[in-house]
Amino acid sequence: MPVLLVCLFACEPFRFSPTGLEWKHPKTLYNLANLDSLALDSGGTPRHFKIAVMADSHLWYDELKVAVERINADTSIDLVILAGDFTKFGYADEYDRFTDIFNKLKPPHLVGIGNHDLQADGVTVYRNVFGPTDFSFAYRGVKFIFFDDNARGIKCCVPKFDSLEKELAGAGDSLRIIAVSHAPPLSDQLDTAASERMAGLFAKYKVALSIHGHTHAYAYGADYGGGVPYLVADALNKRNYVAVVLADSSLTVERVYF
Amino acid sequence: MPRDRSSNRTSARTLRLIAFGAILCGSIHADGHRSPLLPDFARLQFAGHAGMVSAGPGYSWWDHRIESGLSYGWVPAFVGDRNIHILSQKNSISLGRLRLGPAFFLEPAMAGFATHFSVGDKYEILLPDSQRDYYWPDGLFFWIFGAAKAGYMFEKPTYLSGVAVMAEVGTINQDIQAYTRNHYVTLDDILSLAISAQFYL
Repeated sequence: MPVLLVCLFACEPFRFSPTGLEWKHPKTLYNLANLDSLALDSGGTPRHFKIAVMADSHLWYDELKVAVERINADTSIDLVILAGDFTKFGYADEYDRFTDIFNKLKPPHLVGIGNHDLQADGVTVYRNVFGPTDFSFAYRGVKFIFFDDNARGIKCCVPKFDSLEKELAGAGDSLRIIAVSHAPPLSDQLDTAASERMAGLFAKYKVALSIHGHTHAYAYGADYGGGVPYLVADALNKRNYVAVVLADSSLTVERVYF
Repeated sequence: MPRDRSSNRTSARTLRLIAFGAILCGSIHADGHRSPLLPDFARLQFAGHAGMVSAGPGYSWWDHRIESGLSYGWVPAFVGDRNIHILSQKNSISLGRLRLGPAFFLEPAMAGFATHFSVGDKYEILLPDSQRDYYWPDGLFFWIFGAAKAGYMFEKPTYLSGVAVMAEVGTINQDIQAYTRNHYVTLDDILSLAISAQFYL
């Protein structure tokens, strides 16, 4: 009885289903809001800047909170990217907990979609919370292309190769390209044909860096041909993020433990 | 849109199933004895991750202290942006009963669990073998709860032998997982309430 009375006042009293779209906040579209702040610095030639890359925070909220504090303490970070899987079940409550922490980041921050985030009504919640799953923008001489490649056995249409190629071609000669998607090639999300097509496109358009998560295991190297470096971030329970520094023509990658 | 049609089909199938169950269970013998298939109670519930409203029949044992029931729940589109249909199987046990006069009773300490299935093409309940190591089926969740119930049993039962209201506080397995892994997630974050009215037949 006392627990009931306390809950009536303390907890969110009534919940109808975890699989709904009961998103508690106004439709903010956080990615689009952050892109607005990046747009101020969209043009020009590649200049020095630093990105913090994370992925697969799932239910590790304590670790995410520490990561956000550590990134906020490093004033040299210009942009934060989380390459998908910030939920485990795709439930709206998980989106809520994640954004409560992640939105405390001081640098502009962007979130890609992962295969777990798509579960249940996840893709609709994602669009309500962050905006489109596929988007691109230019920042300090680099074109960033975020896209959904979580095929999970679906043979058709993921990723959307035609629009991906248009985005890659649209970078032209003046912009370097950084691609961001959750699953790296040859993971369980992408079959061999899709992996080869993706790697082929990245090689054709000389992608400077391809950022991923999904495997929960850090990896960095040109594993899929064409000289394109692929970066896979650890899951966040391993308590590290990756700092990527882009200078005029160079790119350095370093894991930062917390 | 295909998804809406599928959702309507799911609703129709669910309603037919419930109607069939009601006909099967509702048979009363000519001599007035209740069929053993006739449910012991019907429950109407608000919230508790079983839908905004849910309703269904149930059986009870040990003078209604152990109860088990089925229900169909619904989250309407105006609340959840989409019609959500949930089938549930719920069990509870009362750990003690206080008699407040000849008719009133109070059960201050109850415990139980329910298995909820979100049905429809958006949700998975069974996963292929290849995905079981990586995914939990998003349409399947367990509601674990404590509860208290107050009721009134009629001295001369007609259609109903009694009524009760029950208040539950509980959570689902996915939230327990988040709570046990994090200091950040508190009990306040994961607990919620359900209120139900129970009609003893």
